[in-house]
Amino acid sequence: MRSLNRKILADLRAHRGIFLAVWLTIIIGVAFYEGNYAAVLSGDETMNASYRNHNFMDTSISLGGLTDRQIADQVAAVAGVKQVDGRLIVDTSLQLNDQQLELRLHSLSQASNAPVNSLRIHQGREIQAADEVLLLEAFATINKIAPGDTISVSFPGAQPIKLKVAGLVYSNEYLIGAKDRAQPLPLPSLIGFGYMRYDDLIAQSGIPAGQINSIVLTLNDGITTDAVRSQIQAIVGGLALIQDRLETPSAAWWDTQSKANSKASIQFALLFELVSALATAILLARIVEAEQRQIGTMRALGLSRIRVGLHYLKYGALLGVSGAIVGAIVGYGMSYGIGLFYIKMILQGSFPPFLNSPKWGVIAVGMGIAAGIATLAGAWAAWRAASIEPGIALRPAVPKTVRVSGLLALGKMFPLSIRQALRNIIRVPLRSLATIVGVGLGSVIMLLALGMGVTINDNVDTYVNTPQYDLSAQFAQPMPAEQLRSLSSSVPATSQVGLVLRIPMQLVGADKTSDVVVTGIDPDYAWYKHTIIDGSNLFSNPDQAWISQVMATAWKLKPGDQVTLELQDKHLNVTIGGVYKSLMGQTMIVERSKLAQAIAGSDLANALFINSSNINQTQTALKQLPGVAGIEPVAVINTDLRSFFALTLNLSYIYLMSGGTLVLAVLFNTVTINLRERQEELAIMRSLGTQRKEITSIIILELLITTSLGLIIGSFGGKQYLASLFGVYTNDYQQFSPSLLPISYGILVTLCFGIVVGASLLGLRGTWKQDLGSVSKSISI
Amino acid sequence: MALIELQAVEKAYTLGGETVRAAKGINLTIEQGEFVVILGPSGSGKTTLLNLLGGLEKPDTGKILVDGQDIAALGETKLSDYRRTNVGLIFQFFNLFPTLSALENVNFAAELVGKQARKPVEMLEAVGLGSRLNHYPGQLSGGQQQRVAIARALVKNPKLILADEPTGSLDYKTGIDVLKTMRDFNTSTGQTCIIVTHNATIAGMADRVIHVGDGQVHNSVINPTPKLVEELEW
Repeated sequence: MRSLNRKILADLRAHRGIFLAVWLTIIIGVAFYEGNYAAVLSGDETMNASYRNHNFMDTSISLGGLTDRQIADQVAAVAGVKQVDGRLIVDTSLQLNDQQLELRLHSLSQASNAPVNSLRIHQGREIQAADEVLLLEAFATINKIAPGDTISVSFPGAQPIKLKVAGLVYSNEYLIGAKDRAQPLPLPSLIGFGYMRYDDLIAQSGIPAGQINSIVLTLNDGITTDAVRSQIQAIVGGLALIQDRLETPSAAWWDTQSKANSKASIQFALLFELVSALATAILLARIVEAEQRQIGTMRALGLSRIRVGLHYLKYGALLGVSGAIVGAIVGYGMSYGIGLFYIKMILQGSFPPFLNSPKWGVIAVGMGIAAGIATLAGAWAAWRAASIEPGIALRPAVPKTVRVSGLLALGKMFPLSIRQALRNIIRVPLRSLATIVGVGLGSVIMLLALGMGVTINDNVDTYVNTPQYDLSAQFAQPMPAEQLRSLSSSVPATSQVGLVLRIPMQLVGADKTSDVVVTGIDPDYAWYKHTIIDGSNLFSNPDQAWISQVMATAWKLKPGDQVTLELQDKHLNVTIGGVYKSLMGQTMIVERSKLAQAIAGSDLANALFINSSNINQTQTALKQLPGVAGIEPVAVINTDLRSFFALTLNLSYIYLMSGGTLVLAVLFNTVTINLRERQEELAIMRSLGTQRKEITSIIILELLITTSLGLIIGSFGGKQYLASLFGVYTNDYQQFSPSLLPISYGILVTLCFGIVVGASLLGLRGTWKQDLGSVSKSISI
Repeated sequence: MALIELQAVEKAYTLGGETVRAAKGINLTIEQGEFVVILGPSGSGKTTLLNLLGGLEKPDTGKILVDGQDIAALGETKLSDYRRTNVGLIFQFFNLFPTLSALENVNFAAELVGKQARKPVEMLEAVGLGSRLNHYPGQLSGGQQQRVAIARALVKNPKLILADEPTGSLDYKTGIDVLKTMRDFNTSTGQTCIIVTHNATIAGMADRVIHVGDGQVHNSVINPTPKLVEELEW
């Protein structure tokens, strides 16, 4: 019927404010859903393209020592192997201002680049001279090194040499400067990676020509590392470590971070979509329900129930489909910004060209849910309203609530505003429920976003505030403990020095093996502390080991369990004494003497933990000690850590802003529709002489009560969901303990009440403007 | 002294870009305790006149003196007070709160005026709804709803009862019952009662009949021999 179609347009025009609000809710929901969901997919799209374009290795082989480079040709001959690059990797130290940093130099076999793990030059140019080096961009940027600069590099056992920085590169192999897969701390300030031509590196390092110590290779499609592992192992020998791409620190880092953030982003995206769809459904149902009399009139005029249902189905579809289309377009734009931020966050600022092709599946689901729910919500409410006999529908609605007059009678001592507010809540349960659900869903999002920020801050604070040491000095090789103690005695301004043996080992289980960084410490180094969350205090039993929270979760270990650690052919069997709070890494602490005996049969150490009263003075002296490979001031580590998590924190701000906007829209619309439903009722109250302030009190009190109920439900749900959300961030390398501060609830309550009161006052402005003369002229309720 | 005095009252509306002058320089006087019928055809401006008297609308110009107070000069708060304590309104379409029972609807009005109020249950009993106290408007007939609306207006014990086509939605018998209730209260309490209607028959029961048309008062006539309500027929 054309006239019915005209009625849709006329209704949309007449109530354009409210329909615009519903439309915006749909747009926001679809846009935030697509923006967040597509962004994480674009991250994967970008990295997969980068892996492909730069021939990222499928397999990495650490040869365990210098080997003739012909071995690479033998590996290349293995069936399934596509491309091979034999490399020389030399650990050097870089003198930068007052700091001594670790710099791992790689050989480039073909001119300035490599056939596998090829580099992407972001700044500067390729290498043209023997004394030139390419540096990893993330490391160089944070340490303020630019192309054209000269750096001072010390090869093991040699005097420092000067190298010129030709360019800054991005490498898939070193997305982060991580020492070990078991403890993937992102330390771009302290650990650098550089590249030199093979012949130049040989010349500078003094290593005999033709030697390599690393092979990286790509495999044919459909071939896995495990499929070629045994053949390659037979070629490279038992001491060589063959790792699949995902076992290497950087790829594992991207994989775990990407998976965790993807899951969180997708959860948030779906939550946005769900909240928006539910809010839309509730709002549309309320709008249609308020038209019961019109529906009764249509039915009285002879329209069938199906015809009425179809009319409102079109009505919902018009809003839903148009909103979903606009939302999808806005969402695509958002996905670019969020995706770019997301990849920058994980890759520490140096990343390949960002790809963001439209994700049609995501778009289709987002649009389908929003448009479908909006369409069905309108039709369902109309179907319900049309099922009422026209004669009944045309009469004032009788409250469908249980009689609670006894309860209300008890409230006679309260003023009219309180009683009327309570009556409104009880007598119009669907409207009250709509407000409660709207606030509840909104609060879940807000609390999640707030909780995410608080949790990250709280966990990082706990980690960096745990007293351990001021400086850590790592030596290239383990040495007798007495020798190291003697060396350390010459270091000035030290208040405490702990001898440490820090070894990457393998934890061997029945069905899996994982890397573990085992730190052997002398118990008398009293400053080294951890927060024990299960079991006995650190070093309370010399035969026991203490494991990180991450490791306990990853391996489902608890105090009293026995574990076996392996280092090549050496074994260490220990009983777990306790679990300490940790943020990242599969780490374990034992007494140093026990670890040294197990792996060497003698008293060894390879690191010093130092507390210093003058860090600069101590650091300068440490640099002079023979065999020092790197010095890590804990303050710099903490700065890197905070810097990394500051970016994650920013992701929570995106959620907070997105959630806040959605909550604003949902609450505002809920309140606005609530007030719109009762414009006539409020006008009659005014005509009876009820003062504005009394009406305002009734409305605000009612909304505050329903908002409070929504907040209670939302807070409970949000807290539960927060624990579940941080479950996705818990993997083999990191773990967060969800936490919420009282201020989170304070912010949530203030924000929700603020929006509700603000929306009420704005909505009531419209009520005051209503012409009271219309009450007697045309209104009937 | 007259209870109500309108002096050169003007009121115009702009509807869809067109200006309608609903009150054109109305001058009118109504005495305390009178039962007044304002009579006029549809579109004559009678509802506007009632709205002006009830403080639902304010005139563009002119004065509306009620008990010596110019309500046209009152601000929103004072005007609300005026409606609350001085006026009892009865609408053609009842305008009850659908979520409140009959008793709660009347209670609502009673609580607005506090000690000035009559007893709500007695009011409902007086209009014949003693057995329908806890019924919601949707469970009452049109006549019963209108009687709840009358009880709601009367419970405030106002100086002025204003009724806009109170029988317009009712059958004859129910309409007569409603008018009788109003007349009885007018007689027993001395409250001024003004009814707006296009039904000329009702004018027969009035103390004063005011004819309006085209936004003007054509005449204001005192009826020396008002009929009993039961004598009215339409």
